[in-house]
Amino acid sequence: MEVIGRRAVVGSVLAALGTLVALGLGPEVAPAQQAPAQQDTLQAVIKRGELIVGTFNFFPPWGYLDAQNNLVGMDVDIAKDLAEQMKVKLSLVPVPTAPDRINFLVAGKIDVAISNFTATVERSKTITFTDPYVIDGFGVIFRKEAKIKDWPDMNGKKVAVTTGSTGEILVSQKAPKAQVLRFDQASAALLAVQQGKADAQIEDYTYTVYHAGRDPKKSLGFIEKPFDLNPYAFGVRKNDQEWLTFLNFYIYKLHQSGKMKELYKKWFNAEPARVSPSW
Amino acid sequence: MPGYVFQFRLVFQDFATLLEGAALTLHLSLLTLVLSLVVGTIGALCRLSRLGWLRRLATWYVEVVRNTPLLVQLFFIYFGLGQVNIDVPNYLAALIGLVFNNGAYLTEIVRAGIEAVPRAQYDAALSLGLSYPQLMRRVVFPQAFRVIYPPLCNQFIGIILFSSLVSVIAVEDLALKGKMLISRTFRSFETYMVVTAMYVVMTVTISAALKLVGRRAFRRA
Amino acid sequence: MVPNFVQDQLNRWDALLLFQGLVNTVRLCALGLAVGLLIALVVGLARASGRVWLWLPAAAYIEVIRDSPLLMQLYVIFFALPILLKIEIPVFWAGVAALTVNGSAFMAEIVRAGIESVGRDQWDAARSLGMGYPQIMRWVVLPQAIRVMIPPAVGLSIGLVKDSSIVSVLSYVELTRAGQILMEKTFLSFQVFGIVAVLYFLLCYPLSRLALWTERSLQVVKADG
Repeated sequence: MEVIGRRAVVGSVLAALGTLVALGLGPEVAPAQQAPAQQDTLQAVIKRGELIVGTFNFFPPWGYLDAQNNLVGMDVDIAKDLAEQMKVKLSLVPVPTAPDRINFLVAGKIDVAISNFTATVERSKTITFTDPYVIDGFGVIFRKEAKIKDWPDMNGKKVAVTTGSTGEILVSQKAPKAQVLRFDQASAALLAVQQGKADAQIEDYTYTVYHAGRDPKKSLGFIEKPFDLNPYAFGVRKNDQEWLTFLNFYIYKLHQSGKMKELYKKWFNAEPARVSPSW
Repeated sequence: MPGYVFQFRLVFQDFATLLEGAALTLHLSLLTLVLSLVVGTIGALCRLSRLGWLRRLATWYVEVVRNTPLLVQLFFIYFGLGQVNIDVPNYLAALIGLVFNNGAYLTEIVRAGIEAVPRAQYDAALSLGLSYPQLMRRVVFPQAFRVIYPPLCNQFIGIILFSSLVSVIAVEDLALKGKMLISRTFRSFETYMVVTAMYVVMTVTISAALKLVGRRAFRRA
Repeated sequence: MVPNFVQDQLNRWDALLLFQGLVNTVRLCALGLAVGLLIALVVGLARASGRVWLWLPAAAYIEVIRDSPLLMQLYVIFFALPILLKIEIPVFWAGVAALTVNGSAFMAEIVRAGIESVGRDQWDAARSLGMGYPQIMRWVVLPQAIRVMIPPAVGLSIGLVKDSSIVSVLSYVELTRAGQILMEKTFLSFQVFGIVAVLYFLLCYPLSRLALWTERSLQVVKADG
């Protein structure tokens, strides 16, 4: 009975998998509506009395853990301010990786993603971005001994990136012959560079400036001129018009009231780049 | 809860990259199995050695490995050693970690196999004038292997499944290729279902094949 | 003055984080083991049954779970299930669910082996006394089977503690994630993961000795009875 039993089980399991493959190759399975239903996160948050924000906890100075292991940072301060303005409680959810900002939004685990989220056309296919609240660019942090002066120098070298980040996409464009190491989190990629496992890391410009500066061994440099200028925006789900409008208004007030200037000075000791009101 | 449109086709368009990942997983697993068997045999012989310190060393190796998670071992070898200036590249760190981990389990498996060979065999071989290496090679190991084979197959399946952890140290196995696909398509549901199915297919076919081989080879039992 | 992000040494807040991680690991495993054992009992009984409609689904469940990586099971439960079932699953419960499901499949085989270890003569004797199937299970088979199940079950719980480290990929702060957080903050990976390894060892090693002890003491009893 044992032999027959095992084969029957194997057979049925493989049959089930075959069905899965057939489903996959067949016509797309789609419910009646083609797009997600109309959302109303704004009402949901107000009714709940709680705002759930997704941030990173490994990406200084936007979201990271301080010496006392409290979650702090620029994005955290903005989230706190937003919750205060809405007069609700704030719940911060640490998002493990870059693509998870989108995964968590789509799965409904967070109301909004405020996590140095670069707005791109590709990402806009799955979620919606608010107006930008900060402008950043791309940068490279590298080991001084690797002698990297500009982007093409990375060809043939080991470059660490984060899966699902804009840096990952950029390395294939700017340095297609580079050997790429993909990590879940920017901090792990940075550690790889610091330990010499990679020669460079592509990340957002402000990140590269600060981490090159903080290395106690002073062995890291960064490329002075940021490549491209990227808007950071809040991420929300598709078809969530009221929430989107509300957040856009919040961002406008953030700049107009001078709060953004105050926060930027606190975390970067500099003036924020001018943000145009719309793309 | 937002509505969701299932789009498996997006996953299957990029099937080639998932297959690359599967190939690396299998390659890494096979290499791990062979090397772990070597480590396991050495370990088993150490555990059965007459030298007390060798026995204790081997026992400690097994206990430390079996009571700590593979993930922690991988992080330690890749990032931990990196901090003290022992730079281990990611694929090598993955291999070392997997071999280090499975070597301990195989030590116990091989040891059980060797101990299963009845004393009478040893006595008979020694009375025939065989030396220790000859005894081991011609009498003990062939019989021990019969006992070792089933748990060895099980261990191999375990190696394939746990190799998915090397994705956290940037080794582009099936799991990481899946994550990369998700970062491009944002289809976490479909991708994870397909990747899981791929692991099941690999495991079930290999396990069935090994069982068949075992039945043929050990028919004389 | 720009805040200083460099932290050269581990401080007592870091020790606290490690302790919190340890506590969360224990919470994950305790729940995973408890629920996993219950499910394993049901699935194991089904698997040991003679009726096709019982053992086939049980066998399929066991086979699929045992042949897929825990990492993937965790991802499926955390990302895929909420979409299918339209409910929100927080990280902790996704972790518990994954450990439960994974552990129950392996445990179900142990349950089956335990049940099948009880000799036919016991069944025949009980039947001749006029006992029905549930009574036989409750009073004759299971009490004897449990003795056989305990040593491998303790072994499985050690595996559960180690498997809980995988929940770190979802950023749930159990022990391994705590270690990762500290590593990324201080870059002291050698010390941090050394300490984390020792903590896991302190959790698992006593269980290993317990497994050995139960194996020895329960085997003697079996030989007598």
